[in-house]
Amino acid sequence: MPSHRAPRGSWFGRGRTRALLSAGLLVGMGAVATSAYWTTEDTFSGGPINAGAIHLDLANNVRVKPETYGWGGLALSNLAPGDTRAAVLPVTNNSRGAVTFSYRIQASATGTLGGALQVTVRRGGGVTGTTCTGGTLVGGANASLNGFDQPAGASLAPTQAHDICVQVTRPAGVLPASSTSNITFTFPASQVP
Amino acid sequence: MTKTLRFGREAVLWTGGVLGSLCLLSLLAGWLFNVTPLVFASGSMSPSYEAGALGVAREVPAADLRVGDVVSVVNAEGNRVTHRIVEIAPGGDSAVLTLQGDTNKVPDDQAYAVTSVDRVAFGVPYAGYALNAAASPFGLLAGGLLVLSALWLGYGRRDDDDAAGSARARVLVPTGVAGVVLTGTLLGATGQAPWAFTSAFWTDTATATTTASTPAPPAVIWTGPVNCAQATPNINISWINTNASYEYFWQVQEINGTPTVGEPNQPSGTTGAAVAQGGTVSVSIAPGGSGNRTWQVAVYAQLEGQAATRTLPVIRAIWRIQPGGNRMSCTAP
Repeated sequence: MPSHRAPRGSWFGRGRTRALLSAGLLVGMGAVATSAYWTTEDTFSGGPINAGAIHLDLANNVRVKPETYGWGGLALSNLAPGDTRAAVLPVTNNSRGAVTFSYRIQASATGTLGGALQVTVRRGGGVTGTTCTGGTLVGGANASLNGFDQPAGASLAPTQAHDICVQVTRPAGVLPASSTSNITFTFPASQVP
Repeated sequence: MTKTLRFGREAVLWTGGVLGSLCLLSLLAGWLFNVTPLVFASGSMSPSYEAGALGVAREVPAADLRVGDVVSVVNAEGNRVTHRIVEIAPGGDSAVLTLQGDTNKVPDDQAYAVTSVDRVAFGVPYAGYALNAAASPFGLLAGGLLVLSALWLGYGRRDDDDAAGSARARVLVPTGVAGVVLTGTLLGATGQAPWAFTSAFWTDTATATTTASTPAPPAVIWTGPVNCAQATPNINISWINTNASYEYFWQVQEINGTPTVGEPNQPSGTTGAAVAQGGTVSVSIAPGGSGNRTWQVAVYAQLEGQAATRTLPVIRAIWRIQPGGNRMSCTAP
């Protein structure tokens, strides 16, 4: 006589209940699989979990935090009306782990002189004479330096670097002699998935 | 059935049953209590929530939020961000949140306007790795095999089955499985599943600084001592014009630097535009006013016709009017 409820040889019944419950896993898996692999709804991007650390470094610095780089390469003293100067600043992703980031390029400058200065930024550009050439223009040419805030336009994968060419112009016009302006270029980076 | 086989069978059934129950429970909890599990994909919230932690978040209205809460929001790019609130700008039912990762030096550059938000209640270290592995293609395959094994073990043909029950199971079980998978697929496709994989992303910032300056004006180089001859009422000062594009503004001032008012007769003037480079610029200041007064004269270099380019003056001498007001003197009072 066969028995439907005979726990012969098993510890907790035949296991039909557990088998039924395990089917619950399919609901979740179906949801995860569909969402992650077949729709653009990025609910489970399921990307790599990363226990590294982000590092955006300027020039030859490596994993400096917090980083303030005295950019002697961009010499802006004794700017006469119409003068233009340019220099290249390498921006490097020295993150630990597979951290790719996007970043912005921001600039601020103090004083009347700072308010007058114009900036042209070229990602991947180089210096020819006193101007930046080549690469990709970031934002507009000869934009107001103070308040400049543009996305760099490209992400940096680990160990990658961009040469950021910055060209600063003092337009023609009257400014007090011996004016000074403290100029700060800020590169905020955000990890991208 | 050997002991090993029996143990294996129980293990598969228990694992499948427990995981399946957890799955169903978390779905139910998500719908009934607005609870969302979150996987921390980076260490930007370290050490509160290390990378790989599983956070459990519950949806709360914006009014309940406090600075210091860890919340999960969706940014403009559609990615989930789980960071700590550093600033709340309330606005009725909604609030604008400024978030920052604990290890990040700067707040996220996006501010998030929310009416309700998932607030992280607690986290389970490393559990996120397990969930993440389960969501990988390999994990899904392994899960699928586990479920199929459990179903086969639970409903498969057994020696003691009667033919009718077995036949029923052969139809019902595959139908059930297909139904369950379809349900899950629909949940995923419509975004109704209450789970989320969060990227508690990192930020970093670096600054480069430099200083800009405009050229200094030419120096005012006095030529000889101040002429204070007793025989003349005027005082004469002179200097070299070292730059042809400059002229000079002179001004009689109180010794605190403020211009004199109403005296002497001509208290200021501009001169030197016509002087060639290397030539001598001279000013003759005539007396005026009355009483003993102590003054100074300040000389500013400026680009010709452009008073705005004036900078710091060069100060010369200490002056006063002799009694009677008709003489200037360089005699110190």
